[in-house]
Amino acid sequence: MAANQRHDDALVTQVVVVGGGSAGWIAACRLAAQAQRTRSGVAVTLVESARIPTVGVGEGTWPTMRNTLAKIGISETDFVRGCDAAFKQGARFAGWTDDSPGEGYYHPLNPPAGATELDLAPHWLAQSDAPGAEDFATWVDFQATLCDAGLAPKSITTPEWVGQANYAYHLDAGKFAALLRAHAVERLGVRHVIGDVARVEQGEGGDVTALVLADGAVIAGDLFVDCTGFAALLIGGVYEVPFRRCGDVLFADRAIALQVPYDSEDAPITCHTVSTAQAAGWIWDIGLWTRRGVGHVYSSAHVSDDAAEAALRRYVGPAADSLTARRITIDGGHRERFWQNNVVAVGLSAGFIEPLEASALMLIEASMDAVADRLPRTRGAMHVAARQFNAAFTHHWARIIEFLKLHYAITKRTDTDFWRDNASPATWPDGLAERLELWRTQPPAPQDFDHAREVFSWPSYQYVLHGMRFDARYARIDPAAPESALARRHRARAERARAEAMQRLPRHRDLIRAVREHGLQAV
Amino acid sequence: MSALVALDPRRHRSLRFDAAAAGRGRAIAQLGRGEIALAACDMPLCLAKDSGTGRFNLVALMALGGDNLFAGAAGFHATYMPQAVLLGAFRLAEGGTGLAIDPTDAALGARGAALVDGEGAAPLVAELRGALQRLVEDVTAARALADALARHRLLRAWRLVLRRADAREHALDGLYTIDEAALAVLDDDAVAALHREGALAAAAVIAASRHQVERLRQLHAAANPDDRLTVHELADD
Repeated sequence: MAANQRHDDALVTQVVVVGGGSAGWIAACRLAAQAQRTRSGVAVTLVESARIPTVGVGEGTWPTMRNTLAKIGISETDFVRGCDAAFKQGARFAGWTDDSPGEGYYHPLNPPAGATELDLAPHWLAQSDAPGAEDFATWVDFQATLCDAGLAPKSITTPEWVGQANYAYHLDAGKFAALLRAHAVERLGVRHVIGDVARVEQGEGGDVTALVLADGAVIAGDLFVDCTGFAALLIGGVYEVPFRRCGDVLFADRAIALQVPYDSEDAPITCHTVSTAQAAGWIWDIGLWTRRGVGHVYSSAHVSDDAAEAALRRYVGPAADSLTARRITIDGGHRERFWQNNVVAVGLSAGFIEPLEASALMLIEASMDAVADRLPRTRGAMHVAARQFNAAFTHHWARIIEFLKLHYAITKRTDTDFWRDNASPATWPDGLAERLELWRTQPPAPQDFDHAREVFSWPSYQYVLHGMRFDARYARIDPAAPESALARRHRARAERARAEAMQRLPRHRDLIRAVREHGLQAV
Repeated sequence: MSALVALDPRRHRSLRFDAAAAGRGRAIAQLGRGEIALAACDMPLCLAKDSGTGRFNLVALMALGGDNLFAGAAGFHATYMPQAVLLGAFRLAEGGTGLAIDPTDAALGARGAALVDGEGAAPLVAELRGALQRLVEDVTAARALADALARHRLLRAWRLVLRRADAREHALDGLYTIDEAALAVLDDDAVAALHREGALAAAAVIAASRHQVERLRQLHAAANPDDRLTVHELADD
């Protein structure tokens, strides 16, 4: 048998995750839970440095996190209690369209009513100029109303992972990693090794065969998941896969973060992310059980660090006076390839981007969906898996960059260079420019996108476009047409759902308190 | 229980308790753990969530979307009356006679045993207080049983749909029962632990009592000859 054939036939039985932040522990948990579920015999080891602190990416998730946690086997109650988690129903973007007082729009997590049957956008647009007409998000769905009212997306009698409205979470990233670590080691049998990687051993074809730690321990593996953060120990350090920057499209390259305590124990907890536009960036504001996380993302080419911090402190008010800010550098972009040989990069080692749509944890989850659920059985199968993975995630990154740019590109703000530069088509990705031209005369639809499973699908584009009053002129639909009748039925259904939800759902903080005290049931 | 007031010997001098009249208007009754085998002789037992905590309570179903099918003008026609039905007009209270009452409850009126004796509480009041205290303990034990069953993921939604002759449908929402498929694949350690707690036997009785829905249907048909209905169980998702 030829050496190449032996190499390709080698079974993948040992997976080594390098790095112990959110990415590392999600990866280890997903792999080990899948191995346990299928009794595949695959062993998972996680190597974590005792010296390198984790970055703590992302305090906001997507609804996908519910599925990830369920697959891992962590109950929603344990998650909410362990991570000081709160529920998130979307984002409100304030001051992005223009800087007039009170301007803002929602990007809720619910799709528009009837999204599997029809597109409500032309119907909304046809009546949007009428006096007192509702904004797009409110007209097509009820979730924005829940957010305004500070209500939760579910009640204490709703089973875990289920909601009357779609939802994700805000969480404490440090506590999340600790929860995952305990679950991985105690329940899923992940071998946890603490040590610094001193040397990487490579074998045939350049594959990584083992990590040699500073204490001399050798950690051998068949597949290595690089979760070493910005260090990118394997994908960058060993394979030198180039990093593709996107600073010419997304200008934000710095962030300053504060942890703000609540005024009182019973202060309302906002059930959505608030993203407030600033002169040269935007401020995130998210509510956890114990505190708010507030931060300013900005372009250092357009504002100084000190001025950006001053803007953040003004936003928070007197409560910021005693708080210490944490400064973060954003080197926006991603690897040209994410899976090289037998190393796959997940998390910050794969790429980083401003957290405008909380895509960091989602990308980790999506990566591990691809790796854990389709773990190559042999080294030979890894060639195909890597090619598929690289194609999918190159596409995903391009689409995320494009979608984030959309929030800036169609602004009507002209008050600072930051917004004027963003509105310049010269800074838009070609795909976005092309689609925006199309969307002037017809609404975003599934056919506008290459993949059946886009990370941001057409409803997300509609919420941003119409939330920002994009100048669209769609073909008129006859009110007597069958589709108009269908639209009215879906609207009526959404109105009933709104009335019922407003009557039945609890205050957000009250739900979290009940979950912490009593727990959610599995059914 | 709409209007609780403290039992006041002066104000409620003429009030009497008619146990046979208890239960009218109650569709479900909370059960104590010790009542499972008794109540299962007549009624389907299931679980329902507490609206404030989301935790499961053990309950007996006594109606199919209408009046209590056991409580009639001539009394309560079942081999067993749940304690929560019998004591439904009363609550434990601090101070005074130690008892609160719902004067609108059908069991309270001009007939039955006196609650007031002269200027003070009749001996019946102490008996009722004792029964309420035992019921509270028994209900707590039932909650612990439900918690154990939920913790082992042995509960599932029990979706009943009542279909009338004119094809109108009415769903009974918010009920849960034993997931016998999950019970069948429970691991050995959990089986042993639940058996020692007596939870497996209780679960078996609760599961078997589901068939008492047919008894409810028959009682409904007898009481409402012009309103025939069939009961369908929807498959769990």
